[in-house]
Amino acid sequence: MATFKTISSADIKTTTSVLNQLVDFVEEDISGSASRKKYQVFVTSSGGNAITSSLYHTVYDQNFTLQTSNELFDMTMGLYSEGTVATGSQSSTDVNGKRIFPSVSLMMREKINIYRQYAQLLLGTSTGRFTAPFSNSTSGVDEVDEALFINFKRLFVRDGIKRETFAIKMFQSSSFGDINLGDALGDITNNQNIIVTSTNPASGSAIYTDVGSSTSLENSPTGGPVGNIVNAANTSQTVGLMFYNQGIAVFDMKKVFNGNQFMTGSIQTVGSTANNVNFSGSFGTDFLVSASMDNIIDHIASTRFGSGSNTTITFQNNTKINSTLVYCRATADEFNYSSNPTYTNSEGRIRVINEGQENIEKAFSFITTIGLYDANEELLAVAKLSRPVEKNDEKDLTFRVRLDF
Amino acid sequence: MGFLDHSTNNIIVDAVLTDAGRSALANNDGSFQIFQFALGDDEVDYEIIEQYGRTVGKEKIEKNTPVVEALTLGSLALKNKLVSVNNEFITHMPTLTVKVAGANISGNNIPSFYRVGSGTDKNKLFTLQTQTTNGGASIDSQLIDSSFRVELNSIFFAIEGEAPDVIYNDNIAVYEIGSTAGANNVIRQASINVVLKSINDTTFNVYSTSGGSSIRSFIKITGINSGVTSTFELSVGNSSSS
Repeated sequence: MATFKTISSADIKTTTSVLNQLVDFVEEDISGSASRKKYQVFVTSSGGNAITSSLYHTVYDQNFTLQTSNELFDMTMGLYSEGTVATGSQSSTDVNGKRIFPSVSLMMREKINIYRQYAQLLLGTSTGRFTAPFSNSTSGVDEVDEALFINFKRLFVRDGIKRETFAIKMFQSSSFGDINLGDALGDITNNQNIIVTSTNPASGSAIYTDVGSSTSLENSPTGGPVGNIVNAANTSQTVGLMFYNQGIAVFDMKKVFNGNQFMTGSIQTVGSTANNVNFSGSFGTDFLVSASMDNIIDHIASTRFGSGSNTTITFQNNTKINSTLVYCRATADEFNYSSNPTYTNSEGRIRVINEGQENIEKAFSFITTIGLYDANEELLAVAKLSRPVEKNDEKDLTFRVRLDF
Repeated sequence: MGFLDHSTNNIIVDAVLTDAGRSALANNDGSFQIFQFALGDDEVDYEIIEQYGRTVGKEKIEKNTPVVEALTLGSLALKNKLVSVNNEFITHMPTLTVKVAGANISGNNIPSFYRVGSGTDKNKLFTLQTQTTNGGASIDSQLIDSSFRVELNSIFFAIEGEAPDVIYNDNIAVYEIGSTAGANNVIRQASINVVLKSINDTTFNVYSTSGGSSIRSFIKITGINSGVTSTFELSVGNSSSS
């Protein structure tokens, strides 16, 4: 047909390219309780003092009850089953091998199981132990026994996080004070630093990044590409791991946070008539044991990321784009006329040729649209040019139409 | 649809899959096979050439014609195709006329169907003709249409004895109707019997014009080789007596 031209197989090519998008998350989305969703699936026995807790929180870019909100990432924590925090707080083991913990602890088995789940997913075995650095770690120093896990959502990770683009800013200490730094216990107790207050902002911010990870392309057997997260101010200090294709960051809490900081404030507990007790103890060994996962994640989210509108996490993602390139070639004697209703007047005369100039002037047309059809003349794809392009019998045009999948 | 940025000299090709293309991909049966292409000029008004002359007119079209973004609806995405004719001296294209009961359809003569009625209320014989002007230039053989492509709304209309080649998502059914040679200045012609389908009260009320008592639908005829196109309105009333 005179309006269609067959495309040869040589004029259809496929190609792959990678698109990188910059993603950043702001402090207030993480610290605010309205943009952080909890899923309270853990329930203690149904007595009058039963408490509930989530196993993880999901951070949204705005109030999560709004339909326009987007999920940014999930955040949770876990304890290595053979780490000193887990074993040190264990009182016994029952006949079935279930570990028994005293009542001053809370959700210890859940914290251990979360760690095991991540280990199974990322290391290939549920009994695996994260180390930072991933390889060549130093025993007794680099084991990640108290882990903070951040799972970025697929909407932002796409096909994976690009190496050496990840950075996160966190506060190493919670709000005022630290008994080890000489702050008075009375002041610390009064200020309740488990929950941040405006008068007692967190301190000691540090930026952690995966700088240098592209020079050592390590892989985990089940977690895929992995890189070390280091302290930007001291790149020899490795504080966590980034699993690029999984979009999961694992942090060693004893390195990114001040494990010795003395914490005070109200936490959930079983056996209390009010379901809450005033807690005091160190972050690393006491708080991580005694507090529920909700309390711990609430604390980390609300006190360790700041509460302003600054960026606190950033990375670039990779999106692989498979493209089909279709070369539409219009030779000199093709597509020089048009079926556009304005192309001819009421008598069928072609308007672009002046009367009396028929032997000099030749017809031309303008191209604004390219349609790709199947053999049944069904329109499969449409491409538009950004401006009309003239076609005449002295022009041989080739349009490269790109279809992305 | 917004306009495409043409502030640079680069020719940007913004391609999208149509609904039919996406459907073919989803079918996963190999039906997504690009086989041919066509070029279109839907945004271009060639009367500008007549008004301003070839040099200035061309420039006005090139620089002052914003191009809209691609549509995904197959029936609207590429309406006016460019035509390939291996003859650079053509000065005339055929004209397309559509007649009902011997009278040309025009703005003043819209075919009216009635959902409550019989005979010509529900069936009308359309005659499609490509013509040259009386005594005008002859038409190149490459522009002689061996068939016509007829597009109409499948909710309301069908062509008697024909099955649509395709029905788009907006219910536009496409038929290809073979043509025969005509006499005198008629180059090719074909006849189709357009039948009004049964329309219940609910459908009629939903589709009838706001504040009016009829449905406005359209029929598009295209010459398969010349690409010459005519679009006419078809009216569907409730009853010829109302």
